[in-house]
Amino acid sequence: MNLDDESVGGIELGRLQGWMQAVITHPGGVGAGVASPAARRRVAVDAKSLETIVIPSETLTGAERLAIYSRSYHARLLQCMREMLPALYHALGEGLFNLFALDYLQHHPPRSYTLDNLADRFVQHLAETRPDSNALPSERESWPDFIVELVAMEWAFLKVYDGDGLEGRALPSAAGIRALDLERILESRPAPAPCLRLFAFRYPVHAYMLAVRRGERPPIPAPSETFVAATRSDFRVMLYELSAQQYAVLKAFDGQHALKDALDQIGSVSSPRPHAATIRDWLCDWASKGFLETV
Amino acid sequence: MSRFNYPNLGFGVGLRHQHFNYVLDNRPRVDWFEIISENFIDSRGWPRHVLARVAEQYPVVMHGVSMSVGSADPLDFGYLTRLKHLAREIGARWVSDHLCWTGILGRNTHDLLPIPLNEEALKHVVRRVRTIQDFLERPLVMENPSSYLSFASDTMREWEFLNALAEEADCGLLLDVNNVYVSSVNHGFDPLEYIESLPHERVVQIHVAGHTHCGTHIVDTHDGPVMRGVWELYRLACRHHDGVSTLLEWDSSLPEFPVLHAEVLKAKDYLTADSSPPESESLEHVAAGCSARASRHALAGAHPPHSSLPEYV
Ligand SMILES: [Fe+2]
Repeated sequence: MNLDDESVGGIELGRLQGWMQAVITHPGGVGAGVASPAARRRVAVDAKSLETIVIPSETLTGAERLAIYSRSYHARLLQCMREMLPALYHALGEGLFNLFALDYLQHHPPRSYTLDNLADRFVQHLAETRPDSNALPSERESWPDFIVELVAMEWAFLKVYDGDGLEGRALPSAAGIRALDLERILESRPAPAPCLRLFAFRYPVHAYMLAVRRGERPPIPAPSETFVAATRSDFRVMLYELSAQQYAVLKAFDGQHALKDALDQIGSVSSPRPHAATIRDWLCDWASKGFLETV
Repeated sequence: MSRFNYPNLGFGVGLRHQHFNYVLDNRPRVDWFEIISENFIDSRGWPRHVLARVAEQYPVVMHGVSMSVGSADPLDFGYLTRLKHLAREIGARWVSDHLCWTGILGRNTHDLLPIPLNEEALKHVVRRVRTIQDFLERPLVMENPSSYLSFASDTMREWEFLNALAEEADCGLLLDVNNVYVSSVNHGFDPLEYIESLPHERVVQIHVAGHTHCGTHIVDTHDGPVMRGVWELYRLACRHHDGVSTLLEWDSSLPEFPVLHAEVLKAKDYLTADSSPPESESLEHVAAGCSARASRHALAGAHPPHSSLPEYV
């Protein structure tokens, strides 16, 4: 073993901790962890000389004691991912779910003080590592789309639940909007609520997620283009299906551009362009559902 | 030195998301609540809203799991700033964390990892506790963790380390008698010596909890009633106090709120009645927790309650 930088109490604290972290977080377990370059760079012990660092107890070897931490590191994070993403767990089954989650955790180990950010980059990781990521979009298989979209939906649900909302704030009323003439409607600059999330999915993953959360065991759905809004009302997460036109209009709201400019902007992708009276009806509906912060 | 004027709050339980609605609707006559700080500091939704309402009606204490006092990484002042804001916002009676490290090189393992018990680590921890106390503008309360390994470089016992830490950093102590019990088996020391050697004038709070015996070692699973041996240690510790804030930790397989509340009130019953410690139904049950050890503090309350399922039209 190599104890070059010995200090008062043995190995310098940072090196010892770097070693222990490399050992207990290694996906291959303690043996592979001790032998890994990340561990050996800090403390060059092998399975035999390990007990010059971690002493045995009456019942356990040093390696077995480290293994308690190694098992619990992986079990805790997997359990957390499972609780946060129950629909993905149902879709993949335990074996595949653990494989995907462990691969993600290995590439993006937790860095935050809270577990609430644990899967922040999971969608991105899944998209980047899908087996056909190098293929042309037209040649790709579609089931990875389902998986990626499902995780995006589940993660958004959690973020909307615990993120910024509009509770306790004075909000635009449907009656107030209905009283506006169409000219004023077109000049308005609707701002989306901070809790509003908009999705264009290839699969109806929102319905699948809800079914799993209700305790059902739904089959993987057939592809079906779906537009979904997630928002929060009185601390409850609410999901609504939208039409393609509604999705495009809502997507264009930024609180800065007048509605008529937003309509011009989407005119090319959404035809026929919705009538101003229709938009006024939508605004009333959206205001009552908590989609909008201001109109 | 007294307990920093931190009062005896009585018998409390952890505030967990599974009980949010029960607590709001029923206003149970529990003395106080402890929260896992990390489950609330970033919340801008239902958990934070519930906490604000609970803090209007009950004393609340903040118990953290990510301060990583023993890590060689720099302190995370962004985290400490949020902690300080929340403590002010809810009028937290005190703020506690563990004698441990949770990660290094920017990572967080979300586990309470053991530090080597030697002079180097002691100096390091004392320095950091002092810095944290200055920043939070309040004494920090440090808990003894349960641990599963020890280092060849250890030169002192955990209680010696805690004595020195409390004295040199001038901090409070949270005595987890379940952790003393768990570690005493895992390391083969005498838990009575541990308890008797502590500076009890600095013990601000006591934790009791359930654990799981795995044959070769014990794990603090927080998943059931408090075991008899732990109650014995609790009673021993209480001889040094004329009443100390007592909290039951129960994080996994969480029962209905009244069961949880009744469990912590057992402490009150037998302390006043001078009876034998209550029997738990199964002493040291062997359970699935041995291989997983997954249900520790940081997970508690991290997820939305099932009563808040989303709806869609
Ligand atoms: Fe504890």
